[in-house]
Amino acid sequence: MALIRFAQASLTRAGATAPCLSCIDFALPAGQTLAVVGGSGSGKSTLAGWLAGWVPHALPATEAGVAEFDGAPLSGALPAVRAGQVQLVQGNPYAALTGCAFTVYDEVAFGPENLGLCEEEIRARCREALALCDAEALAVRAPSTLSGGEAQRVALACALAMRPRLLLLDEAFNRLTPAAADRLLERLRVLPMLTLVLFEKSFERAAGADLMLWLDGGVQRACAEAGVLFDRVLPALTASDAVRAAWRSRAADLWRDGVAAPCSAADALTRFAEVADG
Amino acid sequence: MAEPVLSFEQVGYGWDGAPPLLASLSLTVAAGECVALVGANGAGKSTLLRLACGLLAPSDGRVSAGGLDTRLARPSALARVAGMMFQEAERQLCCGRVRDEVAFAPRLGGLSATEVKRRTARALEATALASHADAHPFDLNAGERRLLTLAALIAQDVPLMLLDEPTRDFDAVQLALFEAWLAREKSAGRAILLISHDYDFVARNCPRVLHLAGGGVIADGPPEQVLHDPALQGDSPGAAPTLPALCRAIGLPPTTDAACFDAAWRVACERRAALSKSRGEA
Repeated sequence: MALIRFAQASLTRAGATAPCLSCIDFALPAGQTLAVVGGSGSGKSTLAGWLAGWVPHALPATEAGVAEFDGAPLSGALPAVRAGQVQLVQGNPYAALTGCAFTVYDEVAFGPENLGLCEEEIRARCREALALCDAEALAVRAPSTLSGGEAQRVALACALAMRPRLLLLDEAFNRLTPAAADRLLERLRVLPMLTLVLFEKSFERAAGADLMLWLDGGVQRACAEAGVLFDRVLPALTASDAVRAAWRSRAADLWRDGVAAPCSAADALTRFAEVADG
Repeated sequence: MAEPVLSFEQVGYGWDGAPPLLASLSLTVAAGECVALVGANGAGKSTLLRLACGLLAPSDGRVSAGGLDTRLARPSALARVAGMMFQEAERQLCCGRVRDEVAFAPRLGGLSATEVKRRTARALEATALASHADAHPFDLNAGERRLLTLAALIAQDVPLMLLDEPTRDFDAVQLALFEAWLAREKSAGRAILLISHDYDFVARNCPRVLHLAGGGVIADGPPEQVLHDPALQGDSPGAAPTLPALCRAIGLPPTTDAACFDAAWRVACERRAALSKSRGEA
């Protein structure tokens, strides 16, 4: 059974007449990774909030169609209950910090403490989450002194310490170096029983997902594998120069049938060579 | 030689109770230069930008912006020579309307109402925000909010601009707009020091790159040379800047210019097609 299921779902903000999200239609099995892509203002963060269970208490809106998490309606669940199942990490890591912890360690422990877990379990979760994010050395630091990239690692560790089933990453790596972001994402993808949804403007960060959902003006335009959507989505997204060169070559008919669109810069080198050697 | 717009002389800095973050760091940025600052997370890049505009004072050494010693100059004088785009757009927005936000610095600078209006209009136009002039900044999307912070800097009209990851929130269209602005500013003689993790962007726009690590600048040179440090991005075959890497992989002259690449690739494709046709005829 799909962990997330949307069927012709739409969301209309309180006070608005037109929906801010519409035609949302996909199913994501547990353990898989979905990448929601689109340009600025396409509705990615709104969908992230919806999936995080913010409707209606933190995102006043009404929904239509089917929007389910684990077979139950997505909206209306108690935030305290949902917090142990779904975690959202947003692009601004400082928004995730409580402001009431004097050390990073206490910050990471904040969520598990509020679940009422025993101390041993809290310590184990903090250690594990900080290690996963390469943030052990930050444990004694004051959260207010963290750089953007460090704060982003800590925000992710805070979410992981809750051991969610669904982790929503809304441009959650945008302050990390590309190498660090790739390494972290790879680690998360192999964690057992974790379902990931990425919200990205970057084609390449999204391309490794099992499924790509394209949002444009709040409307789901398509949902398919990255390679299938490449020619349509790339103009709206950011991408490396090598991948964008491949897009222009395909558009100019300077490509070869049977050679797939690249999903990364390294892949672009291989694909161009295939076209050239053909 | 003209005095640099920004200079660090043997600068040291450390947060309270922490080991020194920067030590004996020296650098200069001249008018018309667009310099990128790259380095690992926590290397001190954002701290360096704060030192550059006088928000932080160095523990050792001297920082000079627009000829002013940042330790001694008044904030109002520094605001006339250096402008800063913070990593978080939300942290520097303080007005309830886009138009007022853009007018904030020129108004504080004591300019006439006509001049404030002129600068505001020009900045809103340059950032494609004119149609949002009466919106609340927090009703804009992330890319537009970032453009708003840029518009505020344009209106401030300072010789030194310090941009902390300016492109992070942009989609493809907004990025193209930003790069067009950057090209105009460079030729107009503005000094720009920016932090970016997008090394393709750096290679396209910044002829000089500084690599900050271990408390100092460990490399200072053209992007292709500095960015190839494995510490920055590993050593995968697609390491950025990716267009020159692609050129080398398929035997074309290395370039960071998309139009040059496209022209060379088209010629290569046509040659191959002609060759294959002549083989077929033979």
